[in-house]
Order: sequence, then C-alpha cells, then structure tokens
Amino acid sequence: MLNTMYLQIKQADIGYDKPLISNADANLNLGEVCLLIGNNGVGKTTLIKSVLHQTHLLSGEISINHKNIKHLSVKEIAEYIAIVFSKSVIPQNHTVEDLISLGKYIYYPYYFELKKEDKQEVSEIIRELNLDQYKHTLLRNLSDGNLQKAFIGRALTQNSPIIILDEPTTHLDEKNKIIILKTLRKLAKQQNKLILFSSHDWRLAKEFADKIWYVKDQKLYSGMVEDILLQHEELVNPSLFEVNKNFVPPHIAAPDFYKEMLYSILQKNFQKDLSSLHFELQDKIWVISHDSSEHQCESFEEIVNFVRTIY
Amino acid sequence: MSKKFKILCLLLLIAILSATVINLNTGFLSLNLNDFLGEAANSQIAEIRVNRVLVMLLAGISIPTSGFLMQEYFQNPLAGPDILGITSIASLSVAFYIFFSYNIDLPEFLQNSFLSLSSIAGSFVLMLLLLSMSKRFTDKSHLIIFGFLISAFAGAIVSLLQFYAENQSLKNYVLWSFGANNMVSRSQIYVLTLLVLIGSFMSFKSIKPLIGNSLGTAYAQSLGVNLNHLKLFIIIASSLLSASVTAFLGPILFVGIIVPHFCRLIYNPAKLWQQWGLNMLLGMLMMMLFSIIAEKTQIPLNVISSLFGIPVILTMLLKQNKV
Repeated sequence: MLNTMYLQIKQADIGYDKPLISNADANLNLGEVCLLIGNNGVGKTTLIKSVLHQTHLLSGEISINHKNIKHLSVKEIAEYIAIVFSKSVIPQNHTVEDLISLGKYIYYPYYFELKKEDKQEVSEIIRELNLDQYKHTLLRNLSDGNLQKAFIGRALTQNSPIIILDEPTTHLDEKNKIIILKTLRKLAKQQNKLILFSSHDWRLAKEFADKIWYVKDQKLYSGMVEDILLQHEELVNPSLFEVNKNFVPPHIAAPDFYKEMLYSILQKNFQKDLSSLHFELQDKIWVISHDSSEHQCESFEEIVNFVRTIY
Repeated sequence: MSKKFKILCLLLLIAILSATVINLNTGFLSLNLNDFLGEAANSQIAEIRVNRVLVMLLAGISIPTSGFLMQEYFQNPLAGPDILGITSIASLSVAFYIFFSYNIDLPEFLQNSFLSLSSIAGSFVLMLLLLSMSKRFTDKSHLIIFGFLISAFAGAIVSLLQFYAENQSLKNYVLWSFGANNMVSRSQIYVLTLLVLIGSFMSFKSIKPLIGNSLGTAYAQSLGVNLNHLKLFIIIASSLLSASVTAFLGPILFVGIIVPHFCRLIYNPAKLWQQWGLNMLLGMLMMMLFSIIAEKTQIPLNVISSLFGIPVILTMLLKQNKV
C-alpha cells in the first residue's frame, strides 16, 4: 500500500507552556488501529488535541497525508479527522438520528436539511451499528453503550479517513467494551480507516490494536503492540501484584491461570512465609505437600481452611 | 423541507391572517374596508389599527427569536430575552427619561420618540458593554450572572427613581411598563423594521454555529465552529431584537420564553432552522391574539401575557420534574 505515514509526528514537543512529551516521533497508516496508553495526566489528551490542531506544538510538526497541519484550515482537518470524546454535553432534545446526522455538519454551508443520499447514509450507519430500534430515541434515554455507539456513528458519518477516540470504552461494561473494540477494528480493516484511541483498559484493548503509542516519562514510544509490551516490563508483569510485603509465595506447579488464582487467594489471606509449602494441581485436585505429609483439596475454600490449620 | 413542517407553516399563516383581520376589526368603532383604503372619515383610526397590527407582527418576529437564541445558546429552556439584562436596562433608560423630563415641556409627538430613543440608547450601551466584556466571559454562566446583576442593579435604580418621583411621572412609568403602548407611529415602525431586519440577519448568522455548538465546546471546536463569533452574533441579535421592540412597545414579558417552548413541542427541536421559522410564525400569531384580547378587554398586554405565561411555564417545570 502506498499509504505510508498517513499520520506523522516528527520531532514534536507537545504540551502547553512546558513540554509534556518531548521529541516525539511516530507514524500511522490507513488501515491500522493504534492504542494510546499512559498514566493519567501524562499528556494523552494533549497529544490528541495537538493532532487536531486545537493546541499548538511547541516544536516539530505533525502532518496528515503529507500536509503539515499548520497549513490546514479547521474544516480541512475535520475532513481528515473525526473525533469521539469520552464524555460530552448531551443535547436535551436530540435523537440518535439527529446526533448521527451531525457528522455531515462540515459539508453544508448552512446545514438547512440533509440531502437524500446523506439521509440514506445516516440510516445505513444506524443499521450497521445495530441502533435501528433507537433511531428516534432521545439521547438522554439511551444506555451508555448505545450512546457511545451513537457518537461513534456520528464520527463515521463525517466520512473522514482518521477517527480519533478519547477513552471510548471508559464507562462501558465488558460486553459493550468488546462490541466497540470489534467495531473499531472492523472499521480499520474493512473501510481502511486509521483508528487512534486511548484506553486505560489496555489489557483488553491491545487484543484489537496493531500498534501502541506508550507515553511515559515525557517520551512517546511507538511500535507494534507486542514489541512495545516486551520492551516495557512494567506493562507485562503477570498480575502477580505484590500487595503484601510479608507474604512469601509457596511453590506452585499448575497452569498459569490456576497459579494466578491460587497466588491471589493465598496472598489475600496469609501475610506469612509459605515457602515451605508445595502446591501441585493434578487433574483438578490440588495436592499440598507440607514437611513430609501430603494433603488433597478440591476447592480453594478447602485450601484456605487447610493452610489456616497449619499456621 | 419535510411535509409536516410545510403543513405547520401553512396552518400558522392562515391563523395569522385570520387573526390580523379580526385585529383590524377590533376596537371602539366598527370600520369598513373603505376606511382602510381611502381618505374616508375614519381613516386615521384605520391607520392606527394598521400600525398596531404591524407592530404586533414585528414584535412576534423579534421577541420569540430573541428568547429562542438565548435558550439554545445557554441550553436552558427557561432563558428569556431578558437574561442578558436588556429589558431591565431599557426600563431603566425609560425611567430616567420619564422622571427627569418632567419639567421639560416637550410636544406630544416628540415625547414618544424620545422615550423610545432613550430606551434604545440605554440598551445599545449595554450591548456594547456585553460585547466588550464577552472575551472575558469564557464561561457561559458568567454571562448569565452578569445579566442577572445588571437586571438587579437596574431594578434597584428604578425603585429609587420611583420613590422620589412625582405622581404623574410615576403613573407614566408604570403605564409604560404594562407593555404595548399602542401609539406607535408609522415612522417609528420604519425604524423598528430596520432594527428587526438587522437583528434577524444576525440571528441568521447564528443558527449554523448554534447547531454545531449543541454537543459542547470540545466538539464545536473540532467541527470548525468559531465560538467567539457565535457569542458576538448571539449577543447582537438578541439585544437588537428585544431592545428595539421594548423601546417602542414597552417590556413584553413571558412571550420570549413560552413561544420557543411551544415550538419545541410541535416539531423536532433539534432542527434549529425550522424552529426559528416556527418561532416567528407562532410569535406573530400569539402577539396578534394577545393584542385582540388586550383591545377587547382593555387589560394591558403584559397582564395578559403573564396570565397566560405563568401557568404554561409552571406546567413546563412540573412536566420536566416528572421525567
């Protein structure tokens, strides 16, 4: 594909008075899904605003389709990028159809009334997003998941090659998170759009992304998802959170998932040194070796009670 | 334009026409067609009635539009044309004029003009003040607070003036505040028409940015809406429209709040262009009807609009709470 470096950040300093991100270099192509991660306040939203040219770069340049955004008018940028914020003012009297139709706003000088083709396009997008039954429902009566889908629908209607989403899955349950993420990936692959979105729930989101932009310590690290994750250990440590200093884990021979569950329940209940214990999972039964005796438990509840008797 | 909208407009136009004919026939004397057309005996009275109808039509265009713009801009269904303090300042200017011109002998026909002039002048000064301070009011709610303070300030001064005023001045002021001073001359109507045209043009420029503003400022920016321009257009449009009508007719209460509300009930409230059109049509109809009632019952216009408006707004509030 000739669409290399559709969105390009070149040696950019991003921030307000002082740079939040220094010397950022990154690029994305059409058809790619990129996940933007980093702690709160690290500069993700500022980065997004800089790409939208709502905030000026302190140095360097950002270009879309090889055009420096400094030379693009607001309307031209809107034709390239459609944005979805995580929360917005919900207009009191708008229906789903009204909201999604707003995607066409930039294409009309006065926006009197949508043309027939545009009305049809809006109806199609509503159908694709499974919002047909809510077409004439007021926005304030929608569930969070459907509301978010409606806002994505508005961005879709804008017909721009790039869609940027700021925390699109934040107040959604797991099921809706997956629906949104699947939709985004489908948009990238089937309609050749460039999707950039930030998320705190990156462990789930990374399953749907091609690239990651990781903002840490005023730097922007970009690359393929798996490469970045391996390069930054703090991201990939398995969820063996060390909540308690006094806890020393026992030996555990079991598949990763069971190991994690056992570790978790022992750590929660015992702030002790359990290294003299040995746990092994045999056929769904836990065999616990302690000193020279063996004991068998089936459920975690039994294990906890057993370990309590020892200590 | 959807079919429903066209039908609504047609119905409203027919109603306005009927109300106009009734209005022209309402009054102490009964007139016939000749009086309106030629130099017949009662032509002068006919002219007064025509003026009355024209003024009501102009008021019906302006006041609801002003309220509509305020309600959309501040996303508040209870906002009215006076939210920026325009009507209060107009009242203050008129109060100043009435109470301080007591000793000056002005011919009758000039009195009316100076009254309107002072009202417009005062509102104009406020509008300039709002425009110059609009850059400082980045938060919309600050604008509302400023308007509220202005209204309170103006009200306090007017009370002070009333306290020290002569009886006749006091009565004159109170009568003016009842609204619908019916003696608007043809030349004054021309001035009013010009002001309404400018205000309507500014409204025209506001509608598309208002639509883009409906999702909040973050989205508005990304859609290319110039928020500063929107603020300016809204301030100028709303001020001109309400100030000019207030100057010639006195303050008109409640109409600016309830007409937009009714329009939202009868047609899709998200379609702002159509809402503006309906506001103007329904506004003309309502002013015409109120004027007929005022003429027949001799009750001042503001009393009628209050009697009608207060229960309407109350039901509005109660319905909102239920939802």
